[in-house]
Amino acid sequence: MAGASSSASTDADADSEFDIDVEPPLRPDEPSREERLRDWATTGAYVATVLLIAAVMIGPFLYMISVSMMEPYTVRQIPPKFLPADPLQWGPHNYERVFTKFDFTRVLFNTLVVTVGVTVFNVFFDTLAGYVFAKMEFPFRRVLFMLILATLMIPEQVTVVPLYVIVSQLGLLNTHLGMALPFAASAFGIFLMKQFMETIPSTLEKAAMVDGCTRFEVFYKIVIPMSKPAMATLAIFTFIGTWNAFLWPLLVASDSSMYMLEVALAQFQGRFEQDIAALMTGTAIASLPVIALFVALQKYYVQGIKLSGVKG
Amino acid sequence: MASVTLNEITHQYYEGNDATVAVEDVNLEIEDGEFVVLVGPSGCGKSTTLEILSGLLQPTTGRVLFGDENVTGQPARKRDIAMVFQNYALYPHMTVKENMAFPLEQRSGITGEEATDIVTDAAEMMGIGDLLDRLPGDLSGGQRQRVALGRAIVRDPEVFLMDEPLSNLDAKLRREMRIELQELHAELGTTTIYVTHNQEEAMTMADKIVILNRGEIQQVGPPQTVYENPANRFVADFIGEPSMNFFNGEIATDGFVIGGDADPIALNGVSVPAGREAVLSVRPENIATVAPGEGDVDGTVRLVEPLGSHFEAHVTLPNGDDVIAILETDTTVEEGDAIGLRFERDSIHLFDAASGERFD
Repeated sequence: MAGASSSASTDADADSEFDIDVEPPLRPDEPSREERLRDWATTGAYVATVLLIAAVMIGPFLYMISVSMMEPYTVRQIPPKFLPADPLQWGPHNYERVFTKFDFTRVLFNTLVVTVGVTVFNVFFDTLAGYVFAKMEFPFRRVLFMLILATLMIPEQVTVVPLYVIVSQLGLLNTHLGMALPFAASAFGIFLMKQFMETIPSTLEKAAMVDGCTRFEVFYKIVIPMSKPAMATLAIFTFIGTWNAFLWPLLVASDSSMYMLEVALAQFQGRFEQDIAALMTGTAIASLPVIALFVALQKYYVQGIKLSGVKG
Repeated sequence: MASVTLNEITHQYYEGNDATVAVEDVNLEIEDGEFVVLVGPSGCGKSTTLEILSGLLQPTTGRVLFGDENVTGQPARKRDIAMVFQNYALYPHMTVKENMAFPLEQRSGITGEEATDIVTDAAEMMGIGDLLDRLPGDLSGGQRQRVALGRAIVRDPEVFLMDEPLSNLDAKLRREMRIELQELHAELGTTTIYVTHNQEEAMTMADKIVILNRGEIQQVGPPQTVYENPANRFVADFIGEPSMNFFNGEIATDGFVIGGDADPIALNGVSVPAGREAVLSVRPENIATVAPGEGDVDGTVRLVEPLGSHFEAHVTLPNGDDVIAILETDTTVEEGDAIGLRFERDSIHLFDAASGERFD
């Protein structure tokens, strides 16, 4: 709309070069002055709303970055400062502090290993199970699926104690495997994959079988490539969920060398003091991989929209 | 290429403990190179029959033979077939070229340049040579169907199976593709089994037409034979547009009496004992209009529909039956006229009222 009206005004300018006194005649399909004003008002309101929402979203994030660069005493000033009075006070000193005070590299490594492991396991197992529930006929299929869904209703806190006992008897306390294994598959992921795969037309599978595929080839040559958008969504959800996990890593990792990120960050909030600058610094570092992953997998969302537009 | 035989095929679906018979005791011989059309209303078992032929579905009982080889129990990937589906079933994540090369690679292990050559040839044949690098999502319905056909012909299989391949196309395109399919069949000579619910497609394309209803074969034969000599009332009703006129009545000693006290309609050479309940039927194009009292029945014209090449007159008989007659465009018949209708003697069919079977 904005583009159309600006090009119209250039036309009018060109005309007025020759007939300065005469107002350029309005073409019948050209919006009138009022209409243009209304268009601008609509666009303006739209942009303002979007900016407001963006400010609410981005504001705290920017504040976090700002605080992570401040001196700890600046943070404690009242009223709180969004920016330090002297911009030269800004600096990476908190980052240095976090990495020296703590073995933060080790923490990031632990978190990455467990998170990537859980994500890979989840995408692998949930996709397989989702396919079986979506496309195969076998006895008690519905009952089994309902049982899996029912586990969604049990809160993590309820299962945590028996899980701890099992993991400890397996000798997996203070190991990456012990932190990842209980979450290697999820009811939510199976549900997500099943729902998506049910939308894949069964004639495609039939066509693939006629074209020479075994059942498993149908799965990995046709169904998997078509399910990438759902798999990407599942990967992002799982990654973020595991990256931010707190309760289970806290229980399993008693040794500080096995801490995961959220557990380590909690150490900045002691009983008697709160190192907010260090906390914000750790949080800023922690949010980077999640943002990176989101950006990397974003194209699959677009592809997801495109895929769903394909008939058959 | 091969002949195809279905031998006493029955297929049942189970839902809980209830069995639904989808196909019952189907026997069918298809000769090498024949174009056979399975036609019937939805739910008649035609698609199930095709899936049994393909190996995607195994029959509950019965045998499937390709040539002399018993292929019953073989999965689809082991049978030398190619299949085209109503919704095209193109793999959306593969380009046209990859779609067409897929069965070559999967079935015959042909890849690389050899596959490219075969695919290019097939694409040229289908007129889609310039679309090879596109994704199915970027193609029109007609182009997608050509790709699907192209994917079927690349492997040069013994049997083509087609499940309503033209149903998703608009009328004009359907007509064009119908002709192209016939030309393709003439060129390749591959045994083709084609499923449709569209009797026009069935009539125009088939060497042999197989009419199914409720899982059972009603009649098998060349289209014209089926049209002229329907084996039972269902076939008579299903084949032909507009469909046949039916009159319930009784066989009398001197002809056929339409329900009530109308004069009997004289019949040629039908040896049915008098007193049997029967159905007389005649196609709309085998009815002539005459003056009232001079034809086989009298009636009042309810509606005349001009259709360009001909008119269709809807005539109501005294007993309330509605009759459709096809008239020349120079007819003077108008709505509200009282007219007589004369049936062509050789085109009258008689069916048993109870079983629907034809009386000869």
